[in-house]
Amino acid sequence: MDAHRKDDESELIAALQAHDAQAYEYVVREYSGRLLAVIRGIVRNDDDARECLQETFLQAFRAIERFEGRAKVSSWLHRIAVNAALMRLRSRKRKAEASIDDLIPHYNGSEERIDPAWQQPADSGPDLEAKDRKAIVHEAIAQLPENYRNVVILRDIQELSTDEAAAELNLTPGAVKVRLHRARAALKTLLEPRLEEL
Amino acid sequence: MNLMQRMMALMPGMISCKQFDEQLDEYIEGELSFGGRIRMAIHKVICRACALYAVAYQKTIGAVKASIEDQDIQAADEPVSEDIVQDILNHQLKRGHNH
Repeated sequence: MDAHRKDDESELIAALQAHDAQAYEYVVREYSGRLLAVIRGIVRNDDDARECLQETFLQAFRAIERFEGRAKVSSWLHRIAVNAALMRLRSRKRKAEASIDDLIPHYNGSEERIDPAWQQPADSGPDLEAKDRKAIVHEAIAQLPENYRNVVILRDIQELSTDEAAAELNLTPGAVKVRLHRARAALKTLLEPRLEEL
Repeated sequence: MNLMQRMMALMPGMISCKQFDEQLDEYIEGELSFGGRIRMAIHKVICRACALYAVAYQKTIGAVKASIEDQDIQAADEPVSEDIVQDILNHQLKRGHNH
């Protein structure tokens, strides 16, 4: 499977799009370790992680014909994996998708902020462990609507540039900036009660 | 007329809270012009709500970025067991090829 090296992604993508079984196997063997680590970090349960990994590849292979190769295969799989894990987390916690309009700032007629930005955070309990802090953040990201969640994953987690994220999502750079800002503002609202602990 | 409205009337270029929010990402990422940075800084001095908002906003971004760190991914980048690989491939062969 040497032909399917990282430096020849277009050949790999073409093989996947042709449903080449060897290419499928290469991708599963090459990326499962990393993806499983990412997923396990979010769902924190081996059985769920295994199912999410399977779901990740299923979603990826279903969508491979629409994959235009703008992102690396590894980044694309990473985004699908993070999304699958966050969705598993959301269904496990039985939390509904949040309405973005309820979470972003509001202004009066003079464009002054009217949300209580200075609200007191909840009293901190005992220091949280890193994994608990991450879990709080993951639950918040999971509540975002998908089109906002994707922008956060690409820009703040995968650290793509605005232009790269725009290319991957088929959006203008301006639209990515607006969505990212609204998503971050919504996350701030969701996390604010526990921000002191994070 | 409240303080913000008075300041906006007195100081040309004084921005509103809404404009502050709209430019916050560029401010944090160092993409604003010198004049833009000054306007943001002045607004923060005058508007406590926006100053606190900006702190919480930046802390949120930091928490999100730290929630999935490369070191976690690299540390656990190890071969997965063969039964997991076979599970995925068998599942894929059963379902994926027929889409």
